[in-house]
Amino acid sequence: MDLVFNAGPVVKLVLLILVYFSLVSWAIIFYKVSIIQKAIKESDRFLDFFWTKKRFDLIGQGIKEFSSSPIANLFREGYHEMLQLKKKGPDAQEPGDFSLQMDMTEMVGRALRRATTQETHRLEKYLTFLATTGSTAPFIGLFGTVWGIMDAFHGIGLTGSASLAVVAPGISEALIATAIGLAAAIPAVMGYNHFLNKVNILIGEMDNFSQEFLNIVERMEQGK
Amino acid sequence: MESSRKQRWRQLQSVFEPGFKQMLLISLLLHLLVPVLYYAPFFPQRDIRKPPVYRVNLVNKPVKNPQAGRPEAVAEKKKPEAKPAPKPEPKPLPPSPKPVAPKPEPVKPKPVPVKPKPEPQPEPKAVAKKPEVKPAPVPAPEPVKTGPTKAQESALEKRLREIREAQEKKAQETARKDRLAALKAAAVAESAKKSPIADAPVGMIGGKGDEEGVSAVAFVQEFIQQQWSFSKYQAAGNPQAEVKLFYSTDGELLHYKFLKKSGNEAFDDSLIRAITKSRQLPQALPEAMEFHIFFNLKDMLDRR
Repeated sequence: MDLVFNAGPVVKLVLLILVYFSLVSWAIIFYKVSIIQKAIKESDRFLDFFWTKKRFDLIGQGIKEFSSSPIANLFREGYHEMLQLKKKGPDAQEPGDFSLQMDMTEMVGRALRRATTQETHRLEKYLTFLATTGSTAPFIGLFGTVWGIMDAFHGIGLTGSASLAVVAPGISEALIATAIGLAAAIPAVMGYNHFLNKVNILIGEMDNFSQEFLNIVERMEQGK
Repeated sequence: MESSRKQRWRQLQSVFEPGFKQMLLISLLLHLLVPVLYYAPFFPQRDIRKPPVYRVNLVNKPVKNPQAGRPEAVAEKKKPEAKPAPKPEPKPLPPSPKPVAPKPEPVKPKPVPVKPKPEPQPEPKAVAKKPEVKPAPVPAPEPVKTGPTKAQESALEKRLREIREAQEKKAQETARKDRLAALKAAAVAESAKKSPIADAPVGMIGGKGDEEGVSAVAFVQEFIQQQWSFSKYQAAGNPQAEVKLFYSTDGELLHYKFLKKSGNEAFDDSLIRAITKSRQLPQALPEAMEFHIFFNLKDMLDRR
């Protein structure tokens, strides 16, 4: 610990930045764990619910309890779009109402796509910070180390003595920056890869659900 | 529906999502835990023990009136006197002024033989006594008992032979050590000769006396400085303390007194610690002496 306090101002600044990176990236990791865990669990539950109920109006009533599931949100958007189209269906006299000419499947599909994008954004939020930390923290640490070693060598030049006792403390002070940079970067990279994988799985699920939902809507249209 | 969509959009834009601050707090606590764990007792701290360094300097002994001498005798004295275990110097070096030439002379007694020599001396005596004692009773019983058993005699002879052998061995050992010492002294003398400053007289820069060596005051001050430790981060201002120290002939601190405290408590404490540590000087002084020394924080930090 004395290493940290004896370090020069630049190295200290670097260490501060790295600690900040580490702090925030760990917070993001914890936050994302809870968010994504909940999203996956609730999506599972929602899909069960969806396939057992089989009626949109029933599902629409029960949707409230799946607020953190992206697939439930997809359903909500699609269902909402359908309801609006149906509401406008009967009074088709107004010439300015363009929605009449539209195909219902296409409209719902667009709504679903938009919802998918939004959900993806929501799931991926903060992940860029993890990626940034993972890729830059080692470099920032390395910068601190290089600077510290420069200082150490400068000190050697001034004192003129190059014994190990003179050189070693400066270099170990400098190396702590790289150590902390790596300590910040490794969990960030691991977390980033893990969450990216999970988010990709969820995006796949959402796409599948959109297709199925559209199929159902199309079938309803044709059965009319 | 519109409102919920807007709410989601706002959430996406916000820096802190609802549960995020909590996680930030948890993360902060975990980070604080790291240094706490680092200092926790179940992480054994590596204790690095520095091996003791013994440095013996025979030339720069403290004298009362040092002569003018080569400058590096002053510079040199800084390090050489820094030996924590100075005991091996009970050498009988009289502080009498010596001619310049016999510099190697004080070196000679210094190496290993100083100690070993007294050792073998008493031992042979002890061994020699034994045979004296033993033969005495031997002739007595002889006339009384017409035939002291041959076994007894042979045992005695054997013992005598053993003792003689041991004595011889000892003698050889001492001879070998002497030779070794002579060789070492010769080597030291040779290396001393090679040094370009070997011919310069030993003394202090501004020395006005006639003795070979360094000023006792400088010696004591330097030694105390060696024992002194002080964090430069505690340094404030330029405190100066004035201390009177009394040392006995064998370099033992008899008494010390602050004539003037510096006012900086940490500095005063550090001085007291240093003085306490230097209650035994590594070398004897020419006589019991009283020193009047100014300790200046800046000077001391610079000299470190």
